[in-house]
Amino acid sequence: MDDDLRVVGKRVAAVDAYQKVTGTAEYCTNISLPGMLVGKVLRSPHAHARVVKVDGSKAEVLSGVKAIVTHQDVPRKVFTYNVMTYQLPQGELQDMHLFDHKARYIGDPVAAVAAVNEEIANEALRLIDVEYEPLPAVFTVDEAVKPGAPVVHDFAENNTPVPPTPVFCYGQDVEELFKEADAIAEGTFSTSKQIQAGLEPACSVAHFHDGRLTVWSQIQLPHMARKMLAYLFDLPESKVRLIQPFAGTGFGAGTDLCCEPYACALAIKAGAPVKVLYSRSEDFANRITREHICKIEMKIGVRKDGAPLALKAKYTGDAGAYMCKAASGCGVALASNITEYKFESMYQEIEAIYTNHVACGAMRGFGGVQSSFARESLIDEVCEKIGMDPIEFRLKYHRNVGELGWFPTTQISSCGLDECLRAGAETIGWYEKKALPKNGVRRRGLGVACMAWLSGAQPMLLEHSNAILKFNEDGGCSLFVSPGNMGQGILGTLAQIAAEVLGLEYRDINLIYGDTDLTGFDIGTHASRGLYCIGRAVKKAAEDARAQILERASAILDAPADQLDIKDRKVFVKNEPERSALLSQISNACIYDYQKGCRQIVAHATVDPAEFAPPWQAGFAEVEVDTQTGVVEVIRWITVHDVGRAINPQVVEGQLEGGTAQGIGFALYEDTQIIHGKLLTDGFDKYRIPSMLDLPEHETVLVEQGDPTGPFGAKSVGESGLFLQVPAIANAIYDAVGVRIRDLPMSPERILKALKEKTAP
Amino acid sequence: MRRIVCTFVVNGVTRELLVETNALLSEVLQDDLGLKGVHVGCGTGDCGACTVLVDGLPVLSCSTLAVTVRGKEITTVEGMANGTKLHPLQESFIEHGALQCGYCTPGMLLASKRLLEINPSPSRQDIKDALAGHLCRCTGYNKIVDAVMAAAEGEE
Repeated sequence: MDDDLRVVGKRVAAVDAYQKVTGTAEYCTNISLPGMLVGKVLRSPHAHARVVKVDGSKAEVLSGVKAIVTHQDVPRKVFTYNVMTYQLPQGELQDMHLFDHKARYIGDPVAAVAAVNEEIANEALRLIDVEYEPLPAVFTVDEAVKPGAPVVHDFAENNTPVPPTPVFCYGQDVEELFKEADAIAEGTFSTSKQIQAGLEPACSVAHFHDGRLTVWSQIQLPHMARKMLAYLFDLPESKVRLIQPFAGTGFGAGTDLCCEPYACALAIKAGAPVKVLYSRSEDFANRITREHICKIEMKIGVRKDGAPLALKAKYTGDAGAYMCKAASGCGVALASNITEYKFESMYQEIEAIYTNHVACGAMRGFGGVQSSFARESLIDEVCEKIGMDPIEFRLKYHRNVGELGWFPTTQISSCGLDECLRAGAETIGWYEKKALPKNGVRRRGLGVACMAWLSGAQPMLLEHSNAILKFNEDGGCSLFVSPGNMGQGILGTLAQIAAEVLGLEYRDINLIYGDTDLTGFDIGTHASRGLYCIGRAVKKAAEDARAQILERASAILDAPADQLDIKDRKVFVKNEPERSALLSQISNACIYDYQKGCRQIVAHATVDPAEFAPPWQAGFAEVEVDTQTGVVEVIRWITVHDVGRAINPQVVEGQLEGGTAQGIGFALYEDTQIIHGKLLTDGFDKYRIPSMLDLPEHETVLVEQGDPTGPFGAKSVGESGLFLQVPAIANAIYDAVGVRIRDLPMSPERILKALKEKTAP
Repeated sequence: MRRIVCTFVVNGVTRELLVETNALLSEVLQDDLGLKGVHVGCGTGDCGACTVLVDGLPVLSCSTLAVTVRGKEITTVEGMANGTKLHPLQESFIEHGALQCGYCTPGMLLASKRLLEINPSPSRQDIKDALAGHLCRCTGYNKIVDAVMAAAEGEE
């Protein structure tokens, strides 16, 4: 790799860190506008009910109430929170209406109010008279498909909008190959409905003024959110401005709308700015959760030397009340299964079913977390059956450069998994510790798991990005980009890429972001695309700007542009470095040219990538299981990641370490409890995310070999940090105490039950 | 609702405010004083994000009635820097990448400030114990502990 880099690869501070440590950073929750009203949503107390009548007349006359909106006040349009629908030509299933005639989960919005303060808004909610006709409700996918089950949506027969559908299958008949297999492992796995649980509750502010709708939102996909809101309220996109302040949440939560439609409806009716801020319990119960693949049935077969023959799987999604991303979550689960190993043949199906639960959207590790759990657990099992070390299996049978990526037509562009596996095995002491005897009440075990992910969902989904660079007199410039804005570190990383190309310092680049009126179109942040896709746009724009600078400098220095270079804010002749001009001099001349040659340097680049650049990873867990209490303690966690190139290693580590915490939580104790449609775990006291005391020592090791398609060789890192804790911990539990846990979270109760069953005669 | 006149010394400045007796400290700081660094994450005292210092001690501002702390010195994250000079903890959080979304950061910083006042040379475990009530969903905590350790070492 080219290591003559001055800005790329450096640990520079995040561009937004100063604002965040001084308390000046703006979030949706702390936005305050003159005359701003408090918006509140009236929600159905029933999991399933016809809304017969909504009468706001008593609330309307309450002093201080400025607007009440019901289904009568908004255009009746089918829509979806899932703004990613615009990334597919045919879109995804849309099945929602604002304030529909039927409530389909406990919390489904029925009306909303805006008032001068919270007390009056709450009082107005109480005064709205709603007549419900409660209907029988259904809460499990098994019940939902039975004949005579309550019908969640009229159009979906058997509550099954996505019947079992084979996707991306390849090779010969898997059943025939299973007959040839020397070892087979199969199982049914289940997961909980993980909540993204960002620390900032859901919040949006909207203001409709002079024919324009301005929306402050926590969304990760600003331009597509603008498109959906414009559609919903009969406005042209140009009349809607979406502003993203810093978001104190994300992790996929911002790939779907949340309170924005309610804030907009109220603001349009009230003619004043309205803030809708959900309480924590309202956020947990109504913000759509992780794509809920509730069940994974998987079977794999290998030859006695380990050669992978066939993989068969079915992913069942409990969509909840609305489809949002249930089907795409299942689809990604199976797609992400393709890349890792050289199975001769694969047959996988998806299925999604409506219930009367809150709908599910997306969380970091979308679908891949679930497929990794099943696949990596079963790989561990067949390795034991054929007597092969799990690391040796993975070294021998993972796919490599040029082989099949996730999507048909894609090829793997780079692969550093061998180095990941070797480095991790050495760091954790795999071979020495594996040989230790297991005895006593507290037993230790080791587990490993692997995964390949993606850097954007191209070519299946549209991944269009734009970057604009505009130079000032002094040679500094503004970079206009539009990623999700949740502090993941992308802003500074993009500035590093631009600075490297332009021979500037990191701080010479002024970031302009978070406003659809200012920035070019961008899909935004999802599918680990930010650095790879937007980074490519930034690099391309910077190269264009560089060419413009060199062309201008060519006249000043009287040398051909191709013999010039830029470094340290200076343009110079390559073989005569003393012949140079300051970038500020050139930039100034572009703006103040009194000889009629004014042309400010502005560069714009569009990218719509098609390549498949997977980050690879190996995760290693060492656990201690208490055989008397069933408590699993993670002693050590090591993730080794092939990220291509770490543009800012500190940011990369931050992504992986944060993912680690969410993965350990998902593996061991994040447990969404919903009883008869009612979310019981509706606060941080009941839905436990890891605290400082819960996490083990965890380490991140980076493998950097460069990817030929990524900006400066970089691949993605946004999601993959939380893939492997679940399967590696499950495998380590087996290593320690000999039980295979297939349901999440792997709670003490489940461990004890499995231990009891194991020792039962 | 009854209102009473209260005096608070907020970030070194004496403020006299007419406060509703049911108003939370977080509401007064945010709504009456416009302090954007006061972040409420749960409203139930479970996450620690809203922590401010009252007479130097960490207090959950979302679960504290403002009238109960009248006459006291209140420090929010806006009061940590000395003019344009950041507090060593603020510097250290920036340098170590100890924040991402930044929503928990004010609470983390203020609780760390108190920790270093009573224990200038904490171990990693001391820091984890002191900050255990502060949830962060982004960082996995490693870099927060690193930042507090480094700030402590720098001050010695």
